[in-house]
Parts: sequence; C-alpha cells; structure tokens
Amino acid sequence: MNKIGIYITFFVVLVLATAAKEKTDCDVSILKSELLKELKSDYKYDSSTINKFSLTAEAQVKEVKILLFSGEKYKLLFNTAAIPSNFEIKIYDKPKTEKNRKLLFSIKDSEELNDHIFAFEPKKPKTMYINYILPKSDESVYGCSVFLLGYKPN
Amino acid sequence: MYKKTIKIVSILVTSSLIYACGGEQIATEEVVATTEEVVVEKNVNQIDYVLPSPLQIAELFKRAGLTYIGDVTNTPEKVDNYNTKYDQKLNFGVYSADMAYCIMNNQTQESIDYLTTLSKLSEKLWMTDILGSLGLKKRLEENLANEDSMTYIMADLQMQMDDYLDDNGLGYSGSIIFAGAWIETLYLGTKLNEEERNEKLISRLSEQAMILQSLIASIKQNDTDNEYANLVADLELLNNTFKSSGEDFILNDKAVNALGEQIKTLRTKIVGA
Repeated sequence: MNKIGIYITFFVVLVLATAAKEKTDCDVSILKSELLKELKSDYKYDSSTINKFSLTAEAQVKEVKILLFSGEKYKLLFNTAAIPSNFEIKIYDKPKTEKNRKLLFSIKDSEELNDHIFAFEPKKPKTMYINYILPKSDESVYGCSVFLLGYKPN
Repeated sequence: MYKKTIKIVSILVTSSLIYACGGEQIATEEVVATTEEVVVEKNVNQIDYVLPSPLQIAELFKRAGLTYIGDVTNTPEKVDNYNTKYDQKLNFGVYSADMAYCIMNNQTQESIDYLTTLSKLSEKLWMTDILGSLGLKKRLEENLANEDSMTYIMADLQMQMDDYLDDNGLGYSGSIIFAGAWIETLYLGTKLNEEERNEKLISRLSEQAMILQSLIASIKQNDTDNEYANLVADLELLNNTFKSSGEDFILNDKAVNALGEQIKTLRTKIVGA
C-alpha cells in the first residue's frame, strides 16, 4: 500500500467516524437553523420543541399536542438528522388513547424536503397529535429531533 | 515496508474510532445531563404540549378587529413592583402581549417603552438582558414605520426566547410566560368587545378554549411543588365558563360577559391594582 492508499483509507475512516458521531449528536441550534431556512420568507416562526430520547428494550411512543387555528396556513417542519434509524413520526387527529383516529401525515410516506427535513402543510388546521415512534434497542442509543411550527401571515 | 504501512493504517483507524467513540460519549453525556427535562415514554398516556406564540394570537385578534384603545395596557412603571419570580414571569408575558399589541397598532414609542421594560424584567429573571443582547431595540427603532417588519422582529424575539429557555432547561417557564401573555391578550379582546360587540372577535375568543385546556395541562404537568396552584385554579374557572357554552365552546352573550369579568379579575391579580 502506498501513501495515497493510506490517505484514502484515513479519509474514508474519518468520514465514517464523523457520520457515526453525527447520528447521535444533538446540536439543537444547527438542527433548528436548518428548519428556519425552510420557513422561507412567507412563513413566520411560531414555536418549536426539542425532543431528546434514548432507545430502550421496549418500543416507545411519545406524543405531542399542537394547536392550529382554523382558516390559517401552517407549515410543520421536522429535522430528523439526529434520530436513530427505524424511527417514525406520524400525525393524527386524535390522541393515542382514542380509537378510530385518522392518520394525517407520516414521514415514511413523505419525501424529504432537504437532508433529513420533512414538512407538512395541513389543509384543514385543527388540534393535532404528533407521535414519535421509537424502535426498541438493546444498545444505548441516544438522539433528538426538532419540530418547528411556522404560520403564514394573511 | 508493508507491515509498517499496516501499522500506520491501524493507528489511524484506531485513532479515528477513538475520536468517533469519544464523540458519541459527549453526546451521551449531554443527553444524560438533561434527562430530567426529557420525558421518555414511561407514562404512556403523558402528552407534551406546544403552545402557540402570543404574537400569533394577537395577530388573529387584530385581523378579527382588535383595534387600539389607549390606556388599557399595563403601565411600564409597574415593572419595579414585580419582585418575585412568579410575578416576573407572568408579567413578562403581559408586557410581551402589550408590546405586540402596540407594534400591530403602530404605537411606536409605546413599543420601545415595552421593549425597555421587558429588558429590565429579563435581567431580574435571568440575570441577563436577552433582548438587548440580540440587538432588538436597534432593529425595532430602524423598522418603526414598517409594521410587517416589526412583527417579524417579534417572531425573532419569540424564537430567541424559546432557544434561551430550552438551552437553560427552563422550558417550563415558557408556559408561565405564555399564561401571562394569553391572559393580557384576552383582556384586550374582551375589553374591546365590551365597548363594541364584535362577532369575529367573539369567534376567535371562543377558539381560546382549546388553548386554555392545553395551558392548564402543561402547567399542572410540571408544577410538582404546587407553586402555580392558585393560577391553575383561576384558569380552571375560565375553563368552566367556556364549557358552560356547550360542547362546541362557542361563547354566548352571557358567557362572553362572564369571561370578561373573570379575565379582568385574574389580570388584576397578576399586574396589581
């Protein structure tokens, strides 16, 4: 192996190591600033939340209630860059304790806006329930996701 | 030569892996340090709440016809009366709502006065002037003639506040500040409706029932030492008034009047006579 080989090996290992590190790194300010760019000039910041979690031996569902006013236009943004794989984010019209709830959005059925960023613009704004569905894991895996809500001034 | 190369590669690989593991460890430590504020699904029925910004509610009220009435907001001079964290947090919300109200009604000097008042309260509450450090006063002064720019500056202020509270593990304070802002905005709305009945405004007031339920739940969820028990009890009274209007929470005349009186009483408790 020549010097070029060594450099290539070092570079590949460094990239892989950095990628592994970022997977569990929760730099909220970076994650949030990426979402802010997606609001663009037509939406105004309203609120945001950071969900930090660790995977456990059992699957988990964390629920967050959001309130949207009728007749308004909203953009719901999620940055999933620091979430472990096999996670899911779904939005329902009712809490998880109720039956017959309607699925309004799922990131698995949506295309990424940008790298690890998903957006949902509800046609009929009302109270909604975000479910963060985390898989079980035997290893210690930590992560976080950032949610940001923007509204369109009329 | 070949063995030497393998050795060098091994050292590089090992160093990189140590770097990677070290990175993960830092992330782990960061998460562990904030474990208490992270609610991981131990109680399967627990819900977290995202409350809207006071600015959004004020904008909805404005579009519904909330015009400017002089001398109804809380006077900046009272800021020196608020000496407990309880009063300071609630009145930070009250003054934020008053500033939003003035900004949206082009009351420029009043807006600046409220910004100065909020800076003072910020120093009392957190030993730092969050607003001043963001250069908000300068931005406000430069954009006084442009209401649209001003509301974007207000949205920036909300975002910076959220960031500050999150970064310092003070997310719970956000609910209390919101409570102050929400009560003040409702006070302004019911006050205007009292002077001139406004159907659109009543419709927007009626919608506040859903906000109130989340606000109460959010405060109760975190108030482990019952510091805000009295505030919650007062908010529950408002909730009963909303409920008295039926399942759809559309406020009838009697309920609007009762709500106006209850809001006035609660607001006086917060801002002082």
